[in-house]
Amino acid sequence: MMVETNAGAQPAKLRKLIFQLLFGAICGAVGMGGALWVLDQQQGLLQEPGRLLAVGTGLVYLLTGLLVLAGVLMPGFGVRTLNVEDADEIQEQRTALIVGACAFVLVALFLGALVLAPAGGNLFVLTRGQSALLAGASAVALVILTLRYRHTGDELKREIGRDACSWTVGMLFLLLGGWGAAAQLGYAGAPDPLTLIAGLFALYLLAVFIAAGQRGMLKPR
Amino acid sequence: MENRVKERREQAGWSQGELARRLGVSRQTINAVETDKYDPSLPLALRMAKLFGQPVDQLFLDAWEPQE
Repeated sequence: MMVETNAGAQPAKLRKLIFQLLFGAICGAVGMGGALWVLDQQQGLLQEPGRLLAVGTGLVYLLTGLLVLAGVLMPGFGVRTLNVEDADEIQEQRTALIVGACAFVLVALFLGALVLAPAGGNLFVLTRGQSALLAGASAVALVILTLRYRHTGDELKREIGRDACSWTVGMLFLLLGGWGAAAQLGYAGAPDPLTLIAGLFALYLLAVFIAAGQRGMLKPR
Repeated sequence: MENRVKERREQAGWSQGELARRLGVSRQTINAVETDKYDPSLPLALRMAKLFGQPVDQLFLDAWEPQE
Protein backbone atom coordinates (compact mmCIF):
# COMPACT_ATOMS: atom_id res chain seq x y z
CA MET A 1 0.00 0.00 0.00
CA MET A 2 1.33 3.43 -0.92
CA VAL A 3 1.38 6.57 1.18
CA GLU A 4 -1.71 8.73 0.87
CA THR A 5 -1.42 12.16 -0.75
CA ASN A 6 -2.74 15.33 0.86
CA ALA A 7 -3.85 17.03 -2.36
CA GLY A 8 -7.46 18.07 -1.99
CA ALA A 9 -7.67 16.50 1.46
CA GLN A 10 -8.20 19.74 3.39
CA PRO A 11 -11.52 20.81 1.73
CA ALA A 12 -12.80 17.24 2.11
CA LYS A 13 -11.84 17.25 5.80
CA LEU A 14 -13.58 20.60 6.26
CA ARG A 15 -16.74 19.33 4.54
CA LYS A 16 -16.70 16.23 6.73
CA LEU A 17 -16.20 18.32 9.89
CA ILE A 18 -19.11 20.62 8.97
CA PHE A 19 -21.32 17.61 8.26
CA GLN A 20 -20.35 15.99 11.58
CA LEU A 21 -21.05 19.19 13.53
CA LEU A 22 -24.39 19.78 11.83
CA PHE A 23 -25.46 16.17 12.15
CA GLY A 24 -24.47 16.06 15.82
CA ALA A 25 -26.24 19.34 16.54
CA ILE A 26 -29.45 18.19 14.83
CA CYS A 27 -29.44 14.79 16.57
CA GLY A 28 -28.71 16.42 19.92
CA ALA A 29 -31.37 19.08 19.51
CA VAL A 30 -34.04 16.60 18.38
CA GLY A 31 -33.11 14.10 21.11
CA MET A 32 -32.98 16.64 23.93
CA GLY A 33 -36.11 18.41 22.70
CA GLY A 34 -38.00 15.12 22.54
CA ALA A 35 -36.83 14.00 25.97
CA LEU A 36 -37.71 17.32 27.56
CA TRP A 37 -41.14 17.24 25.92
CA VAL A 38 -41.77 13.78 27.38
CA LEU A 39 -40.55 14.85 30.81
CA ASP A 40 -42.62 18.01 30.62
CA GLN A 41 -45.73 15.82 30.54
CA GLN A 42 -44.88 14.71 34.07
CA GLN A 43 -45.60 17.42 36.56
CA GLY A 44 -42.67 18.74 38.52
CA LEU A 45 -39.96 16.53 37.06
CA LEU A 46 -38.32 19.26 35.04
CA GLN A 47 -37.80 21.24 38.23
CA GLU A 48 -35.34 18.62 39.47
CA PRO A 49 -31.80 19.58 38.38
CA GLY A 50 -30.46 16.07 38.93
CA ARG A 51 -33.08 14.58 36.63
CA LEU A 52 -32.34 17.18 33.95
CA LEU A 53 -28.62 16.49 34.21
CA ALA A 54 -29.26 12.75 33.97
CA VAL A 55 -31.49 13.23 30.92
CA GLY A 56 -28.88 15.37 29.16
CA THR A 57 -25.99 13.09 30.04
CA GLY A 58 -27.92 9.93 29.20
CA LEU A 59 -28.92 11.34 25.83
CA VAL A 60 -25.35 12.21 24.92
CA TYR A 61 -24.31 8.65 25.79
CA LEU A 62 -27.28 7.14 23.95
CA LEU A 63 -26.92 9.20 20.77
CA THR A 64 -23.16 8.70 20.67
CA GLY A 65 -23.51 4.96 21.15
CA LEU A 66 -26.23 4.63 18.53
CA LEU A 67 -24.33 6.78 16.01
CA VAL A 68 -21.19 4.69 16.44
CA LEU A 69 -23.19 1.46 16.10
CA ALA A 70 -24.87 2.80 12.96
CA GLY A 71 -21.47 3.82 11.63
CA VAL A 72 -20.07 0.33 12.15
CA LEU A 73 -23.09 -1.41 10.64
CA MET A 74 -23.19 1.04 7.69
CA PRO A 75 -19.54 1.90 6.92
CA GLY A 76 -20.58 4.36 4.21
CA PHE A 77 -22.43 6.33 6.85
CA GLY A 78 -19.67 5.77 9.40
CA VAL A 79 -17.01 7.28 7.16
CA ARG A 80 -19.02 10.51 7.14
CA THR A 81 -19.93 10.62 10.81
CA LEU A 82 -17.00 9.00 12.66
CA ASN A 83 -13.49 10.39 12.89
CA VAL A 84 -11.91 7.75 10.66
CA GLU A 85 -9.97 7.92 7.40
CA ASP A 86 -11.95 5.33 5.50
CA ALA A 87 -14.23 2.32 5.75
CA ASP A 88 -11.24 0.01 6.22
CA GLU A 89 -10.41 1.75 9.50
CA ILE A 90 -13.94 1.09 10.73
CA GLN A 91 -13.42 -2.58 9.92
CA GLU A 92 -10.04 -2.58 11.72
CA GLN A 93 -11.59 -1.02 14.81
CA ARG A 94 -14.89 -2.88 14.56
CA THR A 95 -14.71 -4.75 17.89
CA ALA A 96 -13.50 -1.74 19.88
CA LEU A 97 -16.16 0.49 18.31
CA ILE A 98 -18.99 -1.97 18.96
CA VAL A 99 -17.89 -2.58 22.56
CA GLY A 100 -17.57 1.15 23.21
CA ALA A 101 -20.93 1.88 21.61
CA CYS A 102 -22.67 -0.88 23.62
CA ALA A 103 -21.09 0.45 26.82
CA PHE A 104 -22.41 3.93 26.03
CA VAL A 105 -25.92 2.57 25.40
CA LEU A 106 -25.78 0.63 28.69
CA VAL A 107 -24.82 3.80 30.56
CA ALA A 108 -27.76 5.56 28.90
CA LEU A 109 -30.09 2.72 29.95
CA PHE A 110 -28.77 2.88 33.51
CA LEU A 111 -29.34 6.64 33.71
CA GLY A 112 -32.68 6.31 31.91
CA ALA A 113 -33.90 3.75 34.45
CA LEU A 114 -33.07 6.15 37.26
CA VAL A 115 -34.66 9.12 35.49
CA LEU A 116 -37.89 7.20 34.89
CA ALA A 117 -38.07 5.99 38.50
CA PRO A 118 -40.68 7.35 40.87
CA ALA A 119 -39.51 10.52 42.59
CA GLY A 120 -41.11 11.52 45.85
CA GLY A 121 -44.84 11.41 45.35
CA ASN A 122 -44.67 11.40 41.56
CA LEU A 123 -45.34 8.07 39.94
CA PHE A 124 -43.59 7.96 36.63
CA VAL A 125 -43.25 5.53 33.76
CA LEU A 126 -41.57 2.76 35.75
CA THR A 127 -42.22 1.41 39.22
CA ARG A 128 -39.41 1.46 41.76
CA GLY A 129 -38.84 -2.26 41.25
CA GLN A 130 -38.77 -1.99 37.45
CA SER A 131 -36.29 0.89 37.66
CA ALA A 132 -34.08 -1.06 40.03
CA LEU A 133 -34.20 -4.12 37.75
CA LEU A 134 -33.34 -2.15 34.61
CA ALA A 135 -30.63 -0.09 36.31
CA GLY A 136 -29.16 -3.19 37.95
CA ALA A 137 -29.19 -5.23 34.75
CA SER A 138 -27.57 -2.36 32.83
CA ALA A 139 -24.88 -1.94 35.48
CA VAL A 140 -24.10 -5.67 35.61
CA ALA A 141 -23.97 -5.86 31.80
CA LEU A 142 -21.68 -2.82 31.73
CA VAL A 143 -19.30 -4.37 34.26
CA ILE A 144 -19.25 -7.72 32.39
CA LEU A 145 -18.67 -5.98 29.05
CA THR A 146 -15.89 -3.84 30.50
CA LEU A 147 -14.14 -6.79 32.11
CA ARG A 148 -14.59 -9.11 29.11
CA TYR A 149 -13.17 -6.61 26.62
CA ARG A 150 -10.77 -4.68 28.87
CA HIS A 151 -7.83 -5.68 26.67
CA THR A 152 -9.52 -4.60 23.44
CA GLY A 153 -7.73 -1.69 21.86
CA ASP A 154 -4.07 -0.86 21.71
CA GLU A 155 -1.74 1.04 24.02
CA LEU A 156 -2.96 4.50 22.94
CA LYS A 157 -6.51 3.60 23.89
CA ARG A 158 -5.36 2.30 27.28
CA GLU A 159 -3.33 5.46 27.82
CA ILE A 160 -6.36 7.61 27.01
CA GLY A 161 -8.42 5.53 29.45
CA ARG A 162 -5.84 6.17 32.21
CA ASP A 163 -5.70 9.89 31.37
CA ALA A 164 -9.50 10.10 31.40
CA CYS A 165 -9.68 8.43 34.82
CA SER A 166 -7.06 10.82 36.12
CA TRP A 167 -8.97 13.84 34.78
CA THR A 168 -12.21 12.49 36.23
CA VAL A 169 -10.73 12.09 39.70
CA GLY A 170 -9.21 15.58 39.56
CA MET A 171 -12.51 17.16 38.50
CA LEU A 172 -14.40 15.14 41.11
CA PHE A 173 -12.17 16.43 43.89
CA LEU A 174 -12.60 19.97 42.64
CA LEU A 175 -16.34 19.97 41.95
CA LEU A 176 -17.61 17.49 44.49
CA GLY A 177 -15.15 18.63 47.14
CA GLY A 178 -16.06 22.25 46.49
CA TRP A 179 -19.78 21.51 46.52
CA GLY A 180 -19.46 19.42 49.68
CA ALA A 181 -17.49 22.14 51.41
CA ALA A 182 -20.03 24.78 50.38
CA ALA A 183 -22.86 22.53 51.61
CA GLN A 184 -21.09 21.91 54.91
CA LEU A 185 -20.76 25.66 55.40
CA GLY A 186 -24.39 26.22 54.52
CA TYR A 187 -23.74 28.10 51.28
CA ALA A 188 -25.33 25.40 49.09
CA GLY A 189 -27.67 22.47 49.36
CA ALA A 190 -26.20 18.96 49.41
CA PRO A 191 -26.20 17.25 46.01
CA ASP A 192 -29.01 14.76 45.46
CA PRO A 193 -28.17 11.15 44.48
CA LEU A 194 -29.15 11.50 40.82
CA THR A 195 -27.00 14.62 40.44
CA LEU A 196 -24.06 12.69 41.87
CA ILE A 197 -24.54 9.71 39.56
CA ALA A 198 -25.25 11.72 36.41
CA GLY A 199 -22.47 14.16 37.28
CA LEU A 200 -19.99 11.31 37.57
CA PHE A 201 -20.85 10.00 34.10
CA ALA A 202 -20.89 13.53 32.66
CA LEU A 203 -17.46 14.27 34.12
CA TYR A 204 -16.06 11.00 32.78
CA LEU A 205 -17.40 11.82 29.31
CA LEU A 206 -15.82 15.26 29.49
CA ALA A 207 -12.58 13.69 30.70
CA VAL A 208 -12.53 11.26 27.76
CA PHE A 209 -12.92 14.17 25.34
CA ILE A 210 -10.11 16.08 27.06
CA ALA A 211 -7.80 13.06 27.07
CA ALA A 212 -8.59 12.19 23.44
CA GLY A 213 -8.10 15.81 22.41
CA GLN A 214 -4.71 15.93 24.12
CA ARG A 215 -3.63 12.98 21.95
CA GLY A 216 -4.85 14.67 18.78
CA MET A 217 -7.73 12.25 18.31
CA LEU A 218 -10.38 14.94 17.87
CA LYS A 219 -8.50 16.49 14.95
CA PRO A 220 -10.44 15.94 11.70
CA ARG A 221 -9.00 13.09 9.67
CA MET B 1 9.13 13.58 21.87
CA GLU B 2 10.33 14.50 18.42
CA ASN B 3 10.64 11.53 16.11
CA ARG B 4 11.28 10.50 12.53
CA VAL B 5 8.54 7.90 12.24
CA LYS B 6 6.59 9.73 9.53
CA GLU B 7 9.76 10.32 7.51
CA ARG B 8 10.78 6.67 7.71
CA ARG B 9 7.26 5.46 6.97
CA GLU B 10 7.02 7.59 3.86
CA GLN B 11 10.46 6.41 2.75
CA ALA B 12 9.18 2.86 3.06
CA GLY B 13 6.14 3.81 0.97
CA TRP B 14 3.66 2.77 3.63
CA SER B 15 0.43 4.42 4.64
CA GLN B 16 -0.35 4.92 8.33
CA GLY B 17 -2.76 2.00 8.03
CA GLU B 18 -0.07 -0.25 6.61
CA LEU B 19 2.42 0.63 9.35
CA ALA B 20 -0.29 0.16 11.98
CA ARG B 21 -1.08 -3.28 10.57
CA ARG B 22 2.59 -4.30 10.61
CA LEU B 23 2.98 -3.16 14.22
CA GLY B 24 -0.36 -4.47 15.45
CA VAL B 25 -1.68 -1.11 16.64
CA SER B 26 -4.37 1.28 15.45
CA ARG B 27 -3.88 3.97 12.82
CA GLN B 28 -4.71 6.52 15.48
CA THR B 29 -1.69 5.38 17.47
CA ILE B 30 0.59 5.88 14.47
CA ASN B 31 -1.00 9.27 13.82
CA ALA B 32 -0.55 10.32 17.47
CA VAL B 33 3.11 9.22 17.48
CA GLU B 34 3.87 11.01 14.21
CA THR B 35 2.28 14.24 15.42
CA ASP B 36 4.17 14.10 18.75
CA LYS B 37 0.95 13.68 20.71
CA TYR B 38 1.95 10.35 22.13
CA ASP B 39 5.25 8.73 23.05
CA PRO B 40 4.99 5.00 22.35
CA SER B 41 5.76 2.39 24.96
CA LEU B 42 9.26 0.92 24.97
CA PRO B 43 8.11 -2.35 23.32
CA LEU B 44 6.38 -0.42 20.50
CA ALA B 45 9.37 1.88 20.04
CA LEU B 46 11.66 -1.15 19.81
CA ARG B 47 9.34 -2.78 17.28
CA MET B 48 9.33 0.39 15.19
CA ALA B 49 13.10 0.58 15.29
CA LYS B 50 13.34 -3.06 14.26
CA LEU B 51 10.87 -2.56 11.44
CA PHE B 52 12.73 0.45 10.05
CA GLY B 53 16.14 -1.13 10.65
CA GLN B 54 17.32 1.77 12.82
CA PRO B 55 18.43 2.22 16.43
CA VAL B 56 15.72 3.65 18.68
CA ASP B 57 17.75 6.80 19.38
CA GLN B 58 17.81 7.61 15.69
CA LEU B 59 14.07 7.20 15.39
CA PHE B 60 13.15 9.04 18.59
CA LEU B 61 15.17 12.14 19.29
CA ASP B 62 15.93 13.26 22.81
CA ALA B 63 18.11 16.31 23.46
CA TRP B 64 18.81 15.32 27.06
CA GLU B 65 22.48 14.74 27.96
CA PRO B 66 23.80 13.47 31.30
CA GLN B 67 25.37 16.19 33.44
CA GLU B 68 28.95 15.96 34.70
